[in-house]
Amino acid sequence: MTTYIIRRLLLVIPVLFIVATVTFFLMHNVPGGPFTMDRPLPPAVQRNLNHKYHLDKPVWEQYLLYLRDVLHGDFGESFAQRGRSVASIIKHEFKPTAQLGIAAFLVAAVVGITLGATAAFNQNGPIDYLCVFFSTIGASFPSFIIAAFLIILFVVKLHWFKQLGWGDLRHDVLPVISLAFLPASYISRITRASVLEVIRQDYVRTARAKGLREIAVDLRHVLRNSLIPILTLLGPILAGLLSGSFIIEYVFSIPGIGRETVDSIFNRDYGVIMGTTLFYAFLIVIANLVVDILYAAVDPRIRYS
Amino acid sequence: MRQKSRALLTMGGLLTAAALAMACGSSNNANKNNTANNAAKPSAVASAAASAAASAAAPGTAAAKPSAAAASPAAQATNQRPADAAPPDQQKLTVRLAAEPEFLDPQQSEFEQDIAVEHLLFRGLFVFDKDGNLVPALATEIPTKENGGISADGLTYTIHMKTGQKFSNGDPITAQTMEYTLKRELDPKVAGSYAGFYYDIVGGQAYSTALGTKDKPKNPTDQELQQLRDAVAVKALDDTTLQVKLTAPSGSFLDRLAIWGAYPADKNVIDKFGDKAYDPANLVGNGPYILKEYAAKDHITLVANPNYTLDPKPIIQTLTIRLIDDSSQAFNAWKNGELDETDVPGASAQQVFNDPNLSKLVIKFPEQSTRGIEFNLTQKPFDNPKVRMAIAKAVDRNALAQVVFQGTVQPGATWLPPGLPGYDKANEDIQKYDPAAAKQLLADAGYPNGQGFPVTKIILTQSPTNQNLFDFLSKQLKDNLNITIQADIVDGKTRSQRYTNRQFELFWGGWIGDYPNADDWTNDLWTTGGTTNKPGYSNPQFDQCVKQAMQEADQKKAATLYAQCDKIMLQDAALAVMDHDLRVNIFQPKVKGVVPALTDAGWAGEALFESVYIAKQ
Amino acid sequence: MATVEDAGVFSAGEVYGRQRNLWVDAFRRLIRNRFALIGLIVVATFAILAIFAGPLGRYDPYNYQNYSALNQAPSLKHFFGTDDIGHDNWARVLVGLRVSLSVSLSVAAIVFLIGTAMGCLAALGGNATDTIVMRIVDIAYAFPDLLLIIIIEAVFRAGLWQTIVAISLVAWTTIARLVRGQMLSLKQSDFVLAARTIGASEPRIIVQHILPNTLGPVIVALTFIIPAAIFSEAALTFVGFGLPPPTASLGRLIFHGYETISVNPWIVTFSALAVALLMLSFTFIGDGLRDALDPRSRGAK
Repeated sequence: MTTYIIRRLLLVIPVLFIVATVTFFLMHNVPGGPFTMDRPLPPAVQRNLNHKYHLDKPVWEQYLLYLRDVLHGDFGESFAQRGRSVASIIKHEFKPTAQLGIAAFLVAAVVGITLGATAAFNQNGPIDYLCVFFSTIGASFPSFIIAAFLIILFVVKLHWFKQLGWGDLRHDVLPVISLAFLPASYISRITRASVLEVIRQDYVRTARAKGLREIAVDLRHVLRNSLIPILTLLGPILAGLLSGSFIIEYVFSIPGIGRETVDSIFNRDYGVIMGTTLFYAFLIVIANLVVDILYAAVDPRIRYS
Repeated sequence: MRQKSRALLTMGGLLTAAALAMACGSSNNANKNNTANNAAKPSAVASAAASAAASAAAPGTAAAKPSAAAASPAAQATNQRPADAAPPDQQKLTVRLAAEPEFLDPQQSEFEQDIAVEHLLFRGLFVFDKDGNLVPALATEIPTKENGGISADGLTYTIHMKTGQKFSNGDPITAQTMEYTLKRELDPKVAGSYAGFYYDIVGGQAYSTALGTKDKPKNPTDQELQQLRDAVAVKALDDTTLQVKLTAPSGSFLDRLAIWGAYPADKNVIDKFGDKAYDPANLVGNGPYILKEYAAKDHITLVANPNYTLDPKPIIQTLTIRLIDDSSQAFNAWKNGELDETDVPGASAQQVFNDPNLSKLVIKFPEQSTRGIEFNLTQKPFDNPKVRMAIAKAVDRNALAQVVFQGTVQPGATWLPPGLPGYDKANEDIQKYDPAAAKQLLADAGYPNGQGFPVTKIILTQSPTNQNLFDFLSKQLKDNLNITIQADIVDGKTRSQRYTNRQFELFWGGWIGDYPNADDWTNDLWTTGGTTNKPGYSNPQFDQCVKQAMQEADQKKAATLYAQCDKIMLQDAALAVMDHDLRVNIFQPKVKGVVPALTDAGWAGEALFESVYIAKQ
Repeated sequence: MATVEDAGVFSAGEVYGRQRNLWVDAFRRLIRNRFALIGLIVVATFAILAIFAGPLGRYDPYNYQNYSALNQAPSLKHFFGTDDIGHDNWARVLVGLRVSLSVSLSVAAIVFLIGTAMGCLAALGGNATDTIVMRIVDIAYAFPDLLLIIIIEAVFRAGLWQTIVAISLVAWTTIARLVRGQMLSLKQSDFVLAARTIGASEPRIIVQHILPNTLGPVIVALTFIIPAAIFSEAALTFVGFGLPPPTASLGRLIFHGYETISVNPWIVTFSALAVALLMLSFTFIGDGLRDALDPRSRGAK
């Protein structure tokens, strides 16, 4: 197993390298650049701009320069936000995204697991139907619609919360809830299915037959065993939440990385595109690795050689 | 477990109920609407760019030119605080900008949001009043031929500056400052986007184009660059006298000295900080406000400049500019009291206009803008003027303005917008809506009832308004001419690139004026071979007309000439003009003294912000 | 009989007979599931509405623009009301169903083919192949697909297949991982071991034992991908891509309704409800399928 982990970690480097290379060349071949303006610029001004920002060199040369800089830890500067380095932008904007993602994840996990377990324990009862109904509602509407309703009710009508910005409770509750809806639904369905599966197992029947109180059976045997497979699925969910939900950040005007990733592409902000892509790729690859390890640790049938 | 589940379920049920209740139709107070007519949603940068470069003005009245009567104190509010103004500690205002400024370096800026903030941080030699007339700011008077400010041949400008002017850090502003500023604008290493505006200064073009072009690059030495710089005919004769020599007389040169490209630059700061001179921490201006805080992608805070040397002094002490992309969210925030000013979103404009309370708080003011369907005149089928005119006459502009834009634009059929000298109401008839005439024209062109007419594409960015725009246009053209158009949806930069490379058939585009002179709307833009003439229009008669108008010293005569140029363009259907954009802002009732101007780039009243105040409540 | 079924063992000679019964049996169980049945009925109804959107719509969904009937509430004249430019919303929702269902079904098909192929490759092709394929999955997942979408749109213009490709770009990775995981775990399971002991050849084992048991979860996953694809399309529209006008997909209708919600709550209501109903139905079908195909639950009920 250890060799497997080391091998996977080493493989992170070529993966990132390939992502970076493909992105770089793709980026420079997308029509328009950071200085393509709606009002066409005179050729001399275009030349001046390209010269100033070293965009007049051939793409492969710019690529090598970029690689050299990155190896020295320099990720360049942003065009759309002049004077700010890509690294500082990512550092600065990852904070709200991470806070939002982690908060949403916790809410989704707690709500989802509780609901799912409750439903499973009351299978085919009215509570079960309610849980399933509620969880599917959450997954049936796109996040911006849910956000829209929450805003109409809690911001415009009730004035309980503020809509735009991030930082304090009044601003943070609605985005977190909007973002948590879908993963909560997903987690609750999986929990329900997993708990149901465990409940039917022989060893649970045995525990009950032994005379253990219902609660003890539930907690000690069922929940613990059903949580394990759920945990492995939580990995990608967390990774997805951490990479930033563009839509929620946009609707609530949160200065996060999700928005930045999309904005930078639309602005052809080359340095930021590369920075956010690499950052996101790194997160994903690590998350996948963690999930694969958990998967193997949990299911003894899977063997990596 | 059972207790917990009950509590959980109750909460879950309530949440669901709430969500469903809202799903079944929210009342009229709910607000979610998008920007009026500005392009791609996610890139607010593209939306600013889509309104073509920066703002500027055109006067409300015909006489746009500065009079010898110099500074008109009436045009600038007196220093007296209005009687109903709240005490200074309550003079705080929060406004909205749709996009984040790229940077705040006036010699490099070209986006509206940058210029809006620069209006507050800097003051140049002159300023436009609310009617678009020039009024001295750093200068003592408007140079004219009568007072010797302009030489008889119109080639030499001598500008006298006020004494005692300072930047906010105490550095003096002298004629040397202005010389440095203009040379900086032309410096190819600075790469100012508006450098082209100053090419008629002797030596200006040579200096700015010293690096050549992409196809023919040049690599001058530092010494050569310095020589070119010294050859630029901008000279400080003494501390308060600036002399500029032009290659040809121009009726708009003073206007161009009043825009952001000529806002003073502090050499000390630039020498000290280099590229970082205009970073929020280092930025130094001479305007009524200074930068206090810059939270990227969130907000910008300005406070009144205690060392402001011009008059009148601002009344608002703290201005918070919140950067909010989505105008419907911004409108919500305004309703919630989080914003004092915002734009009225296009989709709910009618609702706002019809509301007796809200409509009183709306300020609707023309921007100097014209928009329409542009053609690629270099290829079939749009090389045929009859085809173009048929399209121009086949669209009902009034319905367009009402249905698609809900009254946030003004229908128009002239290239030069109302308010700009050169606008002639009579020209509106040339492309007037006339479906019968349109059909006939198309038949004359060889496509009776649209037969044989190819399916063509119009380039648009993605937005709900543009979707409605397309649906509307395609129906009009289908019903009236029986031709089919398709939407070519691309993102902002791709759209700009296609335009620059002339890779389009139809294009929804237009222009926003930079300063109130029609040369900004004609020269190079529609003249044969112009660098910004992307549609490829060419008419020697038009070229001649523009040349004549630019050389005409008498501004009234020039206006008449420009009107004729407009007529030629419209008769050729160089494009199919559709409307003129309006700025539609809404203010909280406590905000008073807003003087909207055509120079506004961000929100109504920002160019003449000194008059805004919060009333006592 | 019951024990054999529980253990999931297929004797080599009875394989064919067993195969048929597996699927038929599953189908029967599916129908008996009340929710799944409702789901199937709803989806079938929507499919009929979508196919006959033309005549059932009563109005042209694109060219009918009644400028004197903007933003109207539902009425007999306009079942779902009108939008801000006078389109009839009922016609648009029907046509939207058609467009969205075609897009999402195409996405499901593509994702199924590519995902299953890649997953099989990874699970059955040996260690090196597994590593390579999984790294490709990582790369595809980590890649800023928006960039690729912009290029596709720029070069090929926005359109139907471009949207399908755009949505499929990342979606196939979930199926690939799922298939690979399933196959890896099945490779070591008892009944496969038993089949090997009996002497069945490797390809036969794959096709007749591993694949069918893999397909179960894959089909279930696909039933979630179909409505998810409609969501993705809505998200693409939000970002600035998606189907170009005048095409009215459900995603575009939802987005447009969201933008105009204060003047006209009906647009978003009906389109979001349509998507929600589709999602619910597919979820029930998926759940039912999972229960029907799960060998362990067969004996329990």
